[in-house]
Amino acid sequence: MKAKSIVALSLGLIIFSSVVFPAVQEQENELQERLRLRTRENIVTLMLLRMTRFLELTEDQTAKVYPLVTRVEKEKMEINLKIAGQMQELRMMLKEGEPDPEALQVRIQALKELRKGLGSKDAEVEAQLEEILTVVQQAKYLVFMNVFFRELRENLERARNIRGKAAPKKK
Amino acid sequence: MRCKTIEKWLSDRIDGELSERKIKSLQAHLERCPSCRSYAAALEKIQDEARSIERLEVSPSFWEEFTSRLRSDLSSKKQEKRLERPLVKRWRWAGASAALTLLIVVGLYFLLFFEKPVPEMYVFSYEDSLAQIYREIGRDPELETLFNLVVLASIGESLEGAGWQDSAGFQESSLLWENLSEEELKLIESEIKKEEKIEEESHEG
Repeated sequence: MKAKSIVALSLGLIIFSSVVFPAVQEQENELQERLRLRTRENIVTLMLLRMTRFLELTEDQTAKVYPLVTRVEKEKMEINLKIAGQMQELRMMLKEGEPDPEALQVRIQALKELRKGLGSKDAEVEAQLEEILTVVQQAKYLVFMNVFFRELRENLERARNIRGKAAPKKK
Repeated sequence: MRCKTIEKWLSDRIDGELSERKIKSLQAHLERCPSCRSYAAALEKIQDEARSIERLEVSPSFWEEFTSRLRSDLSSKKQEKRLERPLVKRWRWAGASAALTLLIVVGLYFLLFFEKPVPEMYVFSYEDSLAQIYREIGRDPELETLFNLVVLASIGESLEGAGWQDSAGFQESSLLWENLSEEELKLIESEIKKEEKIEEESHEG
């Protein structure tokens, strides 16, 4: 009787964890995705602020660049969310024993289209910036990007240091 | 038996290359066929006349001269034949060689200079740089949250540096307040409280 109940309990635990664990994993992935989008938003906001000063944008240019970049960013974010969804589905399908090649092909095609969509957004920004910015500002923009992302990496290092200090010391 | 075969056999018999069995068959045919008989008679007559011709003695120098003349005649005939070759035929060869050369040149051009279409690169795009940052962060929510806070602090510094904090619209600035999480809002609140405390202390001092 006792052995039977242990077996039943173990089986119950296994079934429970097999249902709960993927759900928890799914939720974690979603949270991670949201966090990533927020990071991206903040990075772009900081980029726009720094860019305004570095490129000495005029009021007129700022009025054109800000809405352009924020709109395209929003559109890109939506595409990125769809890409994340497709990737998630791909992962799930590949976890299955024998995934259906046709279904995989549909996902691959969808991902291709989404990535093309991202490319077209880049093309749009590229064309607009060429119109809005002077040649000197375009050159400055390229230099600025280099400096800005170096600074971001330094920020990441600062974040690592903060975590290092916050971690409890081993005795 | 066909008379054509008999004509050949007759020629072979003169050369002494016909077997006994074939000779017998030949005789039997000749007895039946008057046409082959007359052909055989004509052959024998020619042979008899050939035997009666006096054999000419030819000097070795004659043969040498004959051979060289023959060679020169043959080579001139060859040259004539080449010149006589139809113009169209010669042009056909020229055309084929030209086409082949063109094909090789075009092939080499495509091979060396015609690059495969590569996806267009956008110099103003920051996607690659962003992707590099994300790679460095990896799947580490704690680090990403801290990084986010550092970026937010930089945004604050930037706004301060731009003198936006003095403007009436600073606190309503969507750039600063939009999408802030509870955690980030708490951090900012605690920082503001610290600053207020420092200010109060300095006033008291």
